[in-house]
Amino acid sequence: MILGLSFDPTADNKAFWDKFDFPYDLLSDVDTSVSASFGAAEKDQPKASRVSVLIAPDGTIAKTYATVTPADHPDQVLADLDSFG
Amino acid sequence: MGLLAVGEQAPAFTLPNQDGSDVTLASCAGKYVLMWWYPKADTPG
Repeated sequence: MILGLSFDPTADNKAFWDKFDFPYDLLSDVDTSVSASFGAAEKDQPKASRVSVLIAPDGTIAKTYATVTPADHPDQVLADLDSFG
Repeated sequence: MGLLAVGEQAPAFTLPNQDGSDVTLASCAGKYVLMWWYPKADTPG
């Protein structure tokens, strides 16, 4: 499954979600604490960085993507999932 | 900023989704989960 995260309030994510009809949830991490716990943000960083983390079924980190190029990213992740079997 | 290392346990979290319903990592157990961060809702950059 997929989860999108930003520091936006729920209402902003709702508008974004409605506009593009995302097939997955967009989560609000307004105080950045969860993002910081993943190392995806510094405390009080104003905007989220474009990073991704793939979590394995056992809850461990399977792969991290520190620089995401939006156009190429889905293929990259799908290829990695194939490699994990 | 340093992302967690491969093999580390992902931190548990509870966050509201776009409808205000809480989503937990625990509810995703047993599946691969891709978490992607974006800078701002509805911006290309």
